[in-house]
Amino acid sequence: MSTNLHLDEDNPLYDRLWDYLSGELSEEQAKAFEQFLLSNPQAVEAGVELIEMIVLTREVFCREGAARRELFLGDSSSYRLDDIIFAINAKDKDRNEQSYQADSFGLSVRELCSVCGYLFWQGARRHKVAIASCAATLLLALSLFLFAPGKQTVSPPLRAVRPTVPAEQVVVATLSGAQGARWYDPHVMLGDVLYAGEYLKLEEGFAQITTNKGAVAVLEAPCEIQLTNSQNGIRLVSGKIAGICETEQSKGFVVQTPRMSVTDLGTRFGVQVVNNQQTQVHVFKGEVDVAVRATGQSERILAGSALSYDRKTGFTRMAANANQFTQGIWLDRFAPAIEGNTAYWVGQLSGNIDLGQRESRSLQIYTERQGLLLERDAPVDFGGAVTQWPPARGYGMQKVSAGQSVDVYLLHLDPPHVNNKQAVDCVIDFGRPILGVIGAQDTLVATDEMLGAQACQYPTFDRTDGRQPRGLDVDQFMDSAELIRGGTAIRLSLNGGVVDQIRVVVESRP
Amino acid sequence: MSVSIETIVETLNKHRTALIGFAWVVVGDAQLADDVFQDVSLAAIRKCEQIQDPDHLISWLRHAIRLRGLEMRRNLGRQVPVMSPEVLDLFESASSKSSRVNESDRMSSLRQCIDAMPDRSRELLSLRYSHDLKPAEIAAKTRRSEPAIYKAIARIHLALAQCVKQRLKIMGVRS
Repeated sequence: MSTNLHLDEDNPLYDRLWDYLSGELSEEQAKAFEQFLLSNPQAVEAGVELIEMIVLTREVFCREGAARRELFLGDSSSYRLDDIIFAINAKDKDRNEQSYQADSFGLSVRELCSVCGYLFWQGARRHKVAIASCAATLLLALSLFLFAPGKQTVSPPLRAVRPTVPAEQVVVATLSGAQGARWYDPHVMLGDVLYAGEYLKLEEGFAQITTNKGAVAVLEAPCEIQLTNSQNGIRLVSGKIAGICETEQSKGFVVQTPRMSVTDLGTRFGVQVVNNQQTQVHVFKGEVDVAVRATGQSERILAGSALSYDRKTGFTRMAANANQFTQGIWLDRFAPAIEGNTAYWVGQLSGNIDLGQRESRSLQIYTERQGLLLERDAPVDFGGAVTQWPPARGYGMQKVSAGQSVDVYLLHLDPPHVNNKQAVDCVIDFGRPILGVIGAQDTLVATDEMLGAQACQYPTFDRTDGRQPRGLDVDQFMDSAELIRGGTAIRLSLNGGVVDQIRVVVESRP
Repeated sequence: MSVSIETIVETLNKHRTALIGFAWVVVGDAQLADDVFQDVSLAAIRKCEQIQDPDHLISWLRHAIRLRGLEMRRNLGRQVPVMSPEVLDLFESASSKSSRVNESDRMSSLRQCIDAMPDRSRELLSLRYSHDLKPAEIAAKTRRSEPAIYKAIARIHLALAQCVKQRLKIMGVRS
């Protein structure tokens, strides 16, 4: 796996660096990271560059708000000697919480006086400031001299600039898809993990959220939602969403609206909140229970039906209107259901999927081919009767027969650097028979042309250094894969380290 | 021969960001880094008679920051950094390289990048630094979760770093 030493949003080098600097890594992790830094001095330079930028940014904004900004002249970033004196004074005023022994850096009255003398000697234009600063300094120095000889104090322990996510924050979902999405918060990104309580406002386009239980909510702008404490729920503040709950685990997905709770019973449905007053629920497949929170009144809605609730008029039944939600529901009909927040759906694969090109701490799922008619047998590593990795019969010994129409998916995990053993545990449910899985380096290479996306650059492999940059690695990283649910879903446990790629061949949708 | 106080002030101005950045690396905290820088600045003035020239001064400042930073961490009850001396050397060396970037070019690029940022990003930084609000307070004020604020601020910093790098490149300044 290659190392991304550039500063970008997908590169967690800085996160790792900060954890290291903050002492948050274990001894073993810290040693491993030190080895990485020693062999990659560019990473250190990138880190220093970023830290300095934060120092400057902080200063720009601090100056806007701090009272002391009046002492800084113009927009230059330079310190003047009186700025330093002022800063020392400001610090001294805060010295009342914690103490440390005076040392070689401690100040004597004589030294402070000499600095003040320098200011007077300089005849600064800011003489009033200088005089005030010096007077304060002298008084303070005298106080220190008279009342606390040999002791100085410093301000209390300080907050970290780059905070870490509090442990009590719970990840409940993943932003698993987007199409033309523009968010109120411009920093929301595809693949983000979402926390309980997090509020999202979609201003344009579509977005897809997958809960930890695997339920999918497709948001259609304009739409405002909030993640709830539930591992399988969402609060719809306004706008409309489409819910897709086609796996056993995702059943029970709850959409809370301002007045109602909508509980899915394994289905596809749409919910719309209009003007904070009216809620509409349309069911296209399966069943949904709705309940009015204030009164406890509840109803069950069957496929093809819809129900509207208004506080004044109560329930009104009507026919489901698929057109009202069609765009949302069919955002990507090739997207499998994902359970667990360590994987997310990306979409059609194109371009370069070589090592280091799409680094992420989560497993990315791409469509490589749709409706591909196999002209000859395709070698696979397991599938059919062989349901586990590593395959007992050896690699590439199974096959998907010619004449089959298949969809092909690539599961891709390329953690940011080799020391980051990113763990991925998830279930990917395709809802259709999985005909074959390819997880071995050689089988992947052998099927890139036949099953891979067209005009896509796949990782090259240098056999001379003995590395396994693609595929599952059962020996070193204990990667495992298993077909479950009658061969329609795959359970993965990957431990990163180097790139993991898995190609999954499933029966085409009718 | 010794350096004058004017030379010390000039050197502190010129290398200020790099020195505070290095202090931050040593102590792992921005405000504590300010404290270290202030202490070391004054110590440099105190010792001006013992410092031979600007080159000696800058290496003295880095060394002093290293010692003072580690000492401050210890005195505040923090665990002494797990950082090995070799890695600290690397940071010190990287910091000395970055010192060569013209500070006013960098600041001017940063200001342009901040001006070009979306209003919401600027507001976020303003709340964080101008108003000195903690992420939890910003989260409450903006009706967003605390982790979302953390992430947003981190991304803004990254975006600014990239923007400044790009602008310096266009200006022909090594970053």
